[in-house]
Amino acid sequence: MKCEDINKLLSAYLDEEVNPRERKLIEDHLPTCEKCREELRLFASTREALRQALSTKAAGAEPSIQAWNNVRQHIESKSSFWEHFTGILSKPAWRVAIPVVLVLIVVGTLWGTGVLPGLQGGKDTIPVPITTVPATTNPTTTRSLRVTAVTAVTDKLSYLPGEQVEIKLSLTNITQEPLTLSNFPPYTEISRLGVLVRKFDRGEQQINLAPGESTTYTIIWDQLDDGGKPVNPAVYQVAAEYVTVTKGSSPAGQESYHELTEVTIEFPQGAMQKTIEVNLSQTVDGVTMTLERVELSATEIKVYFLMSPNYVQGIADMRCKYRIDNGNTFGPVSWGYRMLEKGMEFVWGDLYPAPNDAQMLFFSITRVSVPRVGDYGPFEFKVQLQ
Amino acid sequence: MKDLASNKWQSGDAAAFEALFQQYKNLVYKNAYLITGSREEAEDVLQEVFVSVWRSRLTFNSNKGKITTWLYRITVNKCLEKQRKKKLACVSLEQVDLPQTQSSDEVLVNRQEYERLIEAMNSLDTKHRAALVLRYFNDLSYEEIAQTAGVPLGTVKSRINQALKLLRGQFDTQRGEAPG
Repeated sequence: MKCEDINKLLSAYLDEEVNPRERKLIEDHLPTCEKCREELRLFASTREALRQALSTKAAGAEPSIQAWNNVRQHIESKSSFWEHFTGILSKPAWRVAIPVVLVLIVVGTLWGTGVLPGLQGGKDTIPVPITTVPATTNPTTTRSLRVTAVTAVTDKLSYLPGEQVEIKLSLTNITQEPLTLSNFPPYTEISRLGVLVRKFDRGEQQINLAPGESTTYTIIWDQLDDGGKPVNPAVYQVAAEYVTVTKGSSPAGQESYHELTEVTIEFPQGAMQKTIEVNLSQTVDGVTMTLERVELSATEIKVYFLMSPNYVQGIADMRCKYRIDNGNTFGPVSWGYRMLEKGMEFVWGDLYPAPNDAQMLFFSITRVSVPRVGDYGPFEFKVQLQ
Repeated sequence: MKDLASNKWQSGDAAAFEALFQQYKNLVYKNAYLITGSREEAEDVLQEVFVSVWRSRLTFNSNKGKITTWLYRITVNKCLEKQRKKKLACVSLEQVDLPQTQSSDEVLVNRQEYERLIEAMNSLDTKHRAALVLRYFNDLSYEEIAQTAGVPLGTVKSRINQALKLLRGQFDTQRGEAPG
């Protein structure tokens, strides 16, 4: 079989989706062909990186709280309406159904506009004062969009653990026409490296903005996550999304804002920033894992490992946990690897930073899964930080 | 897994349909988000998928297939419709010279690099992106992907192979251009 034909099967081979005949052809060919082995390594690293990337990207993605209402409204307006009026109209029940539908439409409309505040379905709104001010702010971050510009400013450059974080966001009408913003303030979230930490649901207010006019709102973050636990010192990203905009008398759709600013929470004693060469090895079931070095910075810790032997088919899954001194234990973080002659080098990134006086990093690779070979672990390491 | 709203939602019970929505909204949304690359479009797709599910609820037969396979199929179709409407200038893999083998020292260490990889996915058309998402995010077998996409098994194999290869080339190009 030619390399070209083998090449077309390599991703299916890694995914264990080839038949026995194809498997034999590939496994007979690979030991004789360096080019195809290299190709296999590249497929393996790309697919594993892709798995990680997709999982990281999807981690913070959730539909808006309005999603069900949108579906319900569509179903009520298009499906039920026509079913009622084309299918059921001939039945005696229509005499009851029509008044009920009309009442539901009226109540639904009032509900949607906030005229019936008692019917707001228990939605949380951001408990902050709303003020309308001229557009004269001195922004730290501005995102210009189709009809509004949004600016986000924090009241301090960095915060100590437990301090109240004040994020002031300002939306400016950058068109020549009046705008109406609905569902205001917008849904806002605080995340770290793509993982959602705390969300603030959208509000129900309507704001009218003249051309050039701005409105501001303030989010107060108590440094707790959605589970009510204090977050670790680190850099967090603030993003806001979806404000329904009406331009003049015609709907102009929804504005969507993404990352706006960052919030830095620092250790009172500062973050440890250095590189420690470790070179500690541990062997479990014939697999040797060497912790080569630890890189500590104010935003994250990276941990580098070398694994031997070198599995050309790549790694299907890898899990870790870690803690610093007697702090909380944290779960999986993102990782990547490259193939070297001496083995596979792994890098675990995105670990929370460590305080300057930390003594020990406990890092455990709880499981390494090699396709068609098996699972290994745990590999446990202690790194002296001082 | 037994669906929360089995039968009841098919007979038009709105509360059971809401339960079905709550059970699968994240699955549909996350897939749509990964395939389209846009939260706004994912929100639209989520809505369109469940409106379709409601309208065609009588056509679903749980004895013939899993509801997740049905939801994946509708989600992918809605994403394809969006792409057709937008008429995006996507790369057609059939017209592209696949990249030559790159060097092997590839380290993907952090979120920024993952984002560039996701960015590289934008160079693929929706059919190929969907195949990658179904395989490497949902862990569907090639057979399940074939059922979902309504294409032969061989097409799934070649789509995944081509997509991974092109992705690698695009990612390497972007990494070469990235600062630092």
